[in-house]
Amino acid sequence: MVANKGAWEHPPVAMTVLIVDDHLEFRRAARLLLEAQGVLVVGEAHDGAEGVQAASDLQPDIVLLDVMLPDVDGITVADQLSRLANPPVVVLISSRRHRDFGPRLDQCSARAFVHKGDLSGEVLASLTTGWQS
Amino acid sequence: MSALDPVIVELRARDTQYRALLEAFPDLVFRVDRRGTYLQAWPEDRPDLVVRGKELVGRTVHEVLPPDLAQRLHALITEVVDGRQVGIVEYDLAIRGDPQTFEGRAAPCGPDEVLVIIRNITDRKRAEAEVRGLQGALEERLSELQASRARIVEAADEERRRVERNIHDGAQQRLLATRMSLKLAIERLRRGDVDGAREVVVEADHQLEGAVDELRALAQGIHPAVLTEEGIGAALEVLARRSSVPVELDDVPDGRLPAPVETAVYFVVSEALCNVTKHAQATRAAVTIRQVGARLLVAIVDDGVGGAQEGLGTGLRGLRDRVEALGGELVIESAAGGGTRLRADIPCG
Repeated sequence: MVANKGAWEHPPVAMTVLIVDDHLEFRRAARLLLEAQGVLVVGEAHDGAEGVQAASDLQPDIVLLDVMLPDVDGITVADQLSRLANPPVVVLISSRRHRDFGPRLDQCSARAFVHKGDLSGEVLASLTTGWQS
Repeated sequence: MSALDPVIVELRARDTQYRALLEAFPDLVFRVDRRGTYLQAWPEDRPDLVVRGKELVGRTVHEVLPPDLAQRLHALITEVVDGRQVGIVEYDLAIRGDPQTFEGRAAPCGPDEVLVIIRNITDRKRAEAEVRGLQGALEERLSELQASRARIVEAADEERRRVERNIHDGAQQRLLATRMSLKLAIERLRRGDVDGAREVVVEADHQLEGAVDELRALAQGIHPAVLTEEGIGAALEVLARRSSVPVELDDVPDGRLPAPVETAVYFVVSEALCNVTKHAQATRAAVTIRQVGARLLVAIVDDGVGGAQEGLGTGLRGLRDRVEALGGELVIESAAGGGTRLRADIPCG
């Protein structure tokens, strides 16, 4: 499926992803799965401050952002990311379900919320445009 | 026989009755004139009279009583004579060195004189003070109880938060990682990479093992299975074996105790041994549990640096609340340099 190719030319360019999550085991498993599904994981960060810095340095297409981080919550980080010069698409992730969070989650600048167990390259592709899954 | 005889007989009879009444009266009764002079006094003698009744007559309050009190009484007498209304005064007076409290009531009685009734209210005052003291102690105890109840609720809430965090950060993350590993295995199988898939399944198996271990440890922290199944003796042996500081166990009861008592003893010993390991720098510790009648005496002693203070963490405070909730007592002796001795005395009858 190719949608809105825009400036992109063949061959299709893999989408780049930054994973911001404080659980090493999850980051490792997510990286292996996404990479096996053709996604390019360009970096990992374990808290909000490191995540904003890495997003600014690496300019990923997508930031996978855990809602509960050790320093600052993911919703606040999503708003910080939206103010970057070239803001990435932010996908909030959590091991909790969407319904377990209050209304702040829906009001923040993130593009979507995905349960960690449902994460895959295909899901990321469906949430964004301009990439081939 | 004159016409007055029956009247005289009647008057005598009345006089006898009034005297009997006044003698039987528990209070002191005086007739006093405007100048403060005692005109009559009943009874004639009693241990709480400053001066015998019959020696009072003819003397004034200023000659008999301490100056301050005499002045107060005289002022009351004048006020009552002039105002024709009952007046009341309360005062302290030492009778042969023993402080007593009196209440005096003065009522107008004939021209320029009053009837004064003095009641010794020492016992009532003492009882009132005792009741006030008891009431104060009761209020203090009540506010302590309310505070400890609030702390127990807070500790339970904190424990739930801790369990939620532990599940979230531990087993749940491992299970999620396992799920992703299995998805990766499926992806590799789809591409015909059987060896790659096997590798990931082996990893998923390790992740599952880790999750099971975490859940077991968590369940153990919530309530140890050995305590439920085998009782306090076995549970304490497990605690002692696990401690990194050598622990000697003495007099541990063989039989079962009521479940709340077993749980309290387990957590007292567990927290104490945890403190010994973390803070005491001890080379050894001893746990003694002795049943004396309907009480269980628990002692945990170490040879470490001492200086444990209840205010420093919620641990010791939480133990005190747990023990006191069972009607027991917790005592911590921990002089700097002298080791720590934690004792709990818990009813178990």
